[in-house]
Amino acid sequence: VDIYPSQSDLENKTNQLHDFNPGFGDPVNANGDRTFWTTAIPICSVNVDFQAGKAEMRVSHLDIEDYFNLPNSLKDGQSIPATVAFDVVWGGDVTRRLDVRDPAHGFEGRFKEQPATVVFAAKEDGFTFVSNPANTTRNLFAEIGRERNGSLFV
Amino acid sequence: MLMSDLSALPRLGSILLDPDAGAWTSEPARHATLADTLSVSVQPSKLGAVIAVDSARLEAASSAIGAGLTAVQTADNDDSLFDSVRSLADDPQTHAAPLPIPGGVSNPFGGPFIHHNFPGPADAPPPFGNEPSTITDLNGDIGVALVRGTGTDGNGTTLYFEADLRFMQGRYLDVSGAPHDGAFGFL
Repeated sequence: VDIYPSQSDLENKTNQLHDFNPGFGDPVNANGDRTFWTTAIPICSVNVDFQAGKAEMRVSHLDIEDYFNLPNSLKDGQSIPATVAFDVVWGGDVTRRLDVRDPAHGFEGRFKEQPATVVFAAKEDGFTFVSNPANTTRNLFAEIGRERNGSLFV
Repeated sequence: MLMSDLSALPRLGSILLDPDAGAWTSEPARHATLADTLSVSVQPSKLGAVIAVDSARLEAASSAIGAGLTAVQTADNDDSLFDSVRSLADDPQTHAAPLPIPGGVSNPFGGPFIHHNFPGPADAPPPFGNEPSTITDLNGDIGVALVRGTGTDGNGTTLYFEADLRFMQGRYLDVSGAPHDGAFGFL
């Protein structure tokens, strides 16, 4: 989650103030592959009713990091502890339904492209942020899906 | 992990798959099923109430999230918005580490390879779309939300945010190939 001081800075990706993410995971093999900005969340923080085209991810008090800007984050640079909370709600009109089977990339699934809204809050030493109400969210792309991948893609 | 390495992982086969998942002729009822035994995965009645577009409730949620964070700041007395499991320590899942997807993009800043595709249609070529999950060996539900919005800091200053938030929930194989039921967030 990236925070900027102005709309133009957001558009141009300049003067970024905060970059909240969990960082890279630990290496999982000899190649040093690591999960990217992915962290465990309580299993009941996610509710999905795929048939109805509804889903919600609601997480509070998640301890992550603030890397302040994207370059520093991608370099796995210095960060400070931060706590975030967010409520993401998928719903509304489905603009596109698609079934995908992609052996080249090892996944298949059924997907519904439909809007989402977000409420987000963050806190760290010396800084707090609370987003405006969810209905002010500008949706750029959102989808829910039901998929299988990797060795579970058969 | 390379795609060629996937064959070395245990293949649990059809026990992980819904009976209706192969044909995709109708809406699959569910994918991963272990969550059912935990009785914590899907709560349609609650979800319906949440999804109903209720701006007052959503505004309340925004305020309550802030209140929740304040609670963290001031005391361990957690009276935040959320009525379910509030911390990983209370969560019944194991949180065994998952594997990243094989694909992704090279890191332009010299850091680790980025096992992640940008948000976009699942039928688009990577990295702008395609596989939305950031973990592999997954059989479950995903959600992707790329949004922009505004908010305020502690001084009342308006700030602007962009967020790519995702969930991955269902059955997955951990780094040792053992199956688990769990949920992961990308942010």
